[in-house]
Amino acid sequence: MARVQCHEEFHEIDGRIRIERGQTMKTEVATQELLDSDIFHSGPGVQAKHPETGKFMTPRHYTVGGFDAGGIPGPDGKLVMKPIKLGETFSYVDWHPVRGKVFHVYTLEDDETWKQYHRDQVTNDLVEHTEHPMHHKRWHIRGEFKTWDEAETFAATL
Amino acid sequence: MSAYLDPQIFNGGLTAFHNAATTVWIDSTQPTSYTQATSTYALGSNVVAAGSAVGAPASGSPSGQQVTVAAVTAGNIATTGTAGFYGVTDSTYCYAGNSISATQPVTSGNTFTLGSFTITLRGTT
Repeated sequence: MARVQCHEEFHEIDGRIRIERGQTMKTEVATQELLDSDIFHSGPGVQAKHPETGKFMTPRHYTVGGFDAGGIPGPDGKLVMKPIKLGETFSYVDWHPVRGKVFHVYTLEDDETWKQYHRDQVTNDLVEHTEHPMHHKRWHIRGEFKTWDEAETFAATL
Repeated sequence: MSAYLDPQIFNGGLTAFHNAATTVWIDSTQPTSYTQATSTYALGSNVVAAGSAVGAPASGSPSGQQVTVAAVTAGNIATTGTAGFYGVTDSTYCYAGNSISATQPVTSGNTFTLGSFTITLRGTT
């Protein structure tokens, strides 16, 4: 097994599996109290507790009419961002350094939609770089775990 | 009472960002890691020399310290989709990621542009 430690919380195994720290993305029904951080807290990236309900609010840039984090699958299965409407589901990143911290396990998959290009020196056009090792390859999330050990255990099964 | 923090404290992190960052990516979804920014959610990228993608720290507005991410004039689109976010990386870290000002459908094989923007470590205001 060949393991490359890209940094302390980012390892690549055999060129086909990655474990990397990230933040969890949540999908919930949009409520005013979830989006009230603009009223009750001035910090742009802070998820404070609602002073009345005690529930954590989203960072202040998530507002009614604004766009969510793009975590909801669209009709074609791809994740899409959409305007936030009260009563409808929306996705947001939990940036809390403890509560929101997770480890994602990725596998490298074939993906015909992902192409590598290089710029032709003469014409300046983009030309498909079919010999590039990442041509038609993309890292897909296979699991999300609260601890590194859990992520490693799962990665060993892939 | 708010604590006093010298700008040098903000500049330490921002200078590391300035020195390391090489690539601005556009993404379909908010990236929170290097792999997400550069592959899982990536639509396209623009690679430059380290030190050129992100400027040196300067006084922030309305407070703190900030850096300016250089405008992209000819980035490569690798896959078709709708761009709504950016990520700024080197070869192993995603240093910053957030939404762009407006969503934009993009097509594989085309180029993209992105205006310059600032990233600010805000002070007390």
